[in-house]
Amino acid sequence: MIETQTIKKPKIYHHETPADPVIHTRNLTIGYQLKRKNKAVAKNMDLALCPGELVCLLGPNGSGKSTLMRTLAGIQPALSGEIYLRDQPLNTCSKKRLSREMSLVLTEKQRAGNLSVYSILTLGRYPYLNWFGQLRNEDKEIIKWAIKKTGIAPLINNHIDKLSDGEKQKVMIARALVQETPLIILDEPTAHLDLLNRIEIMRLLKNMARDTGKAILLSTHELDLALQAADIIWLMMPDQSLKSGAPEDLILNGTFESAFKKRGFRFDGQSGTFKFNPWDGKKTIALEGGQVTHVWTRRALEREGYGIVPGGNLKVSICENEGQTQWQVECGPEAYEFSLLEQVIKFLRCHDHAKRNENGRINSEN
Amino acid sequence: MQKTLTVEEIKLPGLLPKLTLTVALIFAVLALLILDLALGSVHIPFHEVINILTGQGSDNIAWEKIIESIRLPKAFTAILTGMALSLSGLQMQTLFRNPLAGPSVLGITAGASLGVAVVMLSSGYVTTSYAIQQFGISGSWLIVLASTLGSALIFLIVIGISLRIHDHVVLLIVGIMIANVTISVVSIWQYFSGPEQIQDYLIWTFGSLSGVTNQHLQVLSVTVLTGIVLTFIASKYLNLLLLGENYARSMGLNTKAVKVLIISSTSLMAGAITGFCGPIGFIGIAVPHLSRSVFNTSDHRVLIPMSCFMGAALMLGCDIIAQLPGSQSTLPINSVTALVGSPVVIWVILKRRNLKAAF
Repeated sequence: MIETQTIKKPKIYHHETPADPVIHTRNLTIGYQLKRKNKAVAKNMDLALCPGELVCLLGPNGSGKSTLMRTLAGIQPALSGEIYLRDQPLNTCSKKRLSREMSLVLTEKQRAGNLSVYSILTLGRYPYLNWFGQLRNEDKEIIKWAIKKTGIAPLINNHIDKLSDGEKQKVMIARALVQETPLIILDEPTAHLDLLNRIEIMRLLKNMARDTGKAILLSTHELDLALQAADIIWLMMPDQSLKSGAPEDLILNGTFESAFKKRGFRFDGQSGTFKFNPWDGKKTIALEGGQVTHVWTRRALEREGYGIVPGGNLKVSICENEGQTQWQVECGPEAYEFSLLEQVIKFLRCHDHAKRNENGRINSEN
Repeated sequence: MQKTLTVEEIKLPGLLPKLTLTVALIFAVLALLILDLALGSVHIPFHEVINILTGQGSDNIAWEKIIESIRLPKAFTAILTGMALSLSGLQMQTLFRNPLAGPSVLGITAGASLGVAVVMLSSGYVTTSYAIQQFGISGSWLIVLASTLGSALIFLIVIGISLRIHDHVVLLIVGIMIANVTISVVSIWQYFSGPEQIQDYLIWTFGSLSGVTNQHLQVLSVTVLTGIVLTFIASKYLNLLLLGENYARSMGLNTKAVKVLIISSTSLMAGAITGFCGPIGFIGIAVPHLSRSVFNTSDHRVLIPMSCFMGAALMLGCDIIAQLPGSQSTLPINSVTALVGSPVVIWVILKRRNLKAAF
C-alpha cells in the first residue's frame, strides 16, 4: 500500500493551444436568396482557420461546399451569423484589404487566354502594385520564390493553354502564393487530375501550410487523400451542420460513418474507406494463412460477396513456400488447389452457381 | 530530369513585345503615312512630301495646299480612326470574352447612326459630307453633336443595365438587342423620308475620312487621345479580367468601376469616330485578332500599344487604296476596310492558328 503511494503520478494538464485564427465564424448560416426567401444549405457553423493548418472541406455534391467557400471568400453574402477576418467582420473589410488577406484558386475552367505563365504570375502582384503596375525588384523576388516553391520553373515561358491540367493547377497555386496572403482558399484543386497529380498537389499544399505558416482551406471529394493530408477536416453533415476536427478523431467518434450512412454507403472505420461491396450476410467463408496475400485474398473474396468468418461454409487456406503461392479451397469433403486468385474466384463463382441451381430444383420439386 | 533550381537561378522572362516587330510596325505606320500623303488624284513626289512635312515648303504651292489642308488631316483622321476602333474592339472582346465583339456590339455605333439620322432625315437642309465641309463648323458640328448625343444616350442605357447585370453574356445580348432596336428605328425613319435625305444618310453610312477639317481634327484628337489614355489605364484591369471576374475581384479589383471605365472609353472613341467619319466597320473586330495572332499573347500591356500601331497602319493602307491612286474617283472607306482587310486577317489567322487559345 505504502509503496504504491510513493509512485509519482504525472500531473495532468489540459493543454489548450492558443488559437489565433486567420478567419473564424460565429453561428454562420450560408445559402441562397431565392425570390426574397432564404434557402439555407448549412446552418450554425462555428469555424476557425489557423495559420499553418491544411483544412479539407468534405461533403457530397450539393451540400454547400462551394457556397461555404464563396461565403468565406466574401463573394457571396452570408444569410446570418458573422465571419471575422482576424478580428474585423468580413463585410466591413475593403476589397484591397481582402486581396491582401486571402487568395483564391477556383475550379472554373481556366480560360486565361493566350497568356504566358509568367504573365499570369505577375497578375498575382496586382494588389501591391502602384498605379502604373510596374513590377519592382521585391515583386520579382516573390514571384521567383513562388516559382521555386511550386516547381514550375521549366514552365514559365510556356503559354497556359499548352499545359496539362496538373501543371495549370500548379500555376494557379503559384499565382495565389504570389499574392502573399496568410489564407489561401482552393475550390476542388484536385478535380480533373489523375491520381499522381492529385497526390502531388495535396503534398504541395501540405508542405506550403507547414513551411510558410499559411492557412489553407480546400474543398475536395478525395476522401483518401484528405484523411492523409488534412490537419483538420470540415465535414458537411446531412442535417446541414458542419463537424470539424482532426480526421482520426472524426473517424473514431463515428462522425464519418453518420455523415455518409444516409446515402446507403458504409464507411469502414478500420480502413478509412467506403466499402464498395457490402456483405449481404449470406455467403460465408473462412480464410487461413498468408500475410500480404491474406489481405489481398480477403479483398478478392469480399468483392465476390463473401463474409470472412472463422467457421464459414467454405474454407480457403493459403500456402506460401519459396515464392510459390497456392490457394486451397475446401468445400465439404473435396479440396481444390489453385495458383492464381483469378482461378479461385472463378471456381467459387461456379460453385455458387451450381449450389443455387440445386436449391432452385429442390424448391421446384416441392 | 528536373533539377531543383535555387531562387537566384530562376530567370524571369520579359513582358515587352518583340523589339524587332515593334520597330517594324512603327516604320510601317510612317511609310504608309508618307505614301498616303503622296498618292491620290494628284501625285506628289515623295521628296516633296517630306520637304513639306519637315517645314521646308515646296515650289509648288498647290501641292503644299493639298497636303496641308486636305491630305494631312485625312491621314491623321485615318490614324486616329484606326487606333480608336482597334482599342474599342479590343476592350469589348476582353470584357465580353467574345471574339465577335467589337465597338458596335453595345449599340454605340447604332446610337450615333440614330443621332445622325435624326438630323439628316428630319431637317433636310444640312446635308452630305460635302455640304458639311462647305458649311464649315456650324453645320458639321450639328452632325457630330447629334451622333455624340445618340451614342451617349445608348451608352447611358447600356451602363445602367451593366450595373444591374453581372453576367457578361447577358449584357452582350442586351447590347446587341439595343443596337437592333436603334437600327430598326432608323430604317423606319428612312422608309418615311424623301429620297434626297435618304441618299445623304446613305452617303454618311459609307464612311468618309475626308469630312474632317483641321478644326474638327483638334476636337477629334482630344477625344480619341482621352479614350486611348483611358484604355492604357485600363490595361492592367483588362489583364485581370482575362482570369475571370471572380479572380479579378479576389485580387481587389472593383469590377463595377472597371466596367464603367471600359464602356466609357469605348463609347468615347467609337462615338467620336462614328460622328466624324461615319460607321466604319471591320477594323474594330479585326485588328485585335491580328495583333493577338502576330504577337501571340493576350497580355494587354502588349496588345494595347500594338493594336494602336496596327490599326493605324491598316487604316492608312485602306485609305491609300480608297483613293484609287491615279484616278479621279474614290471608293467609300467603309467597303475598302472589309474588302482589303478581311483577306489579310484570314491569312494571318490561318497561318498562325493560335487564336483559339485566347478565348
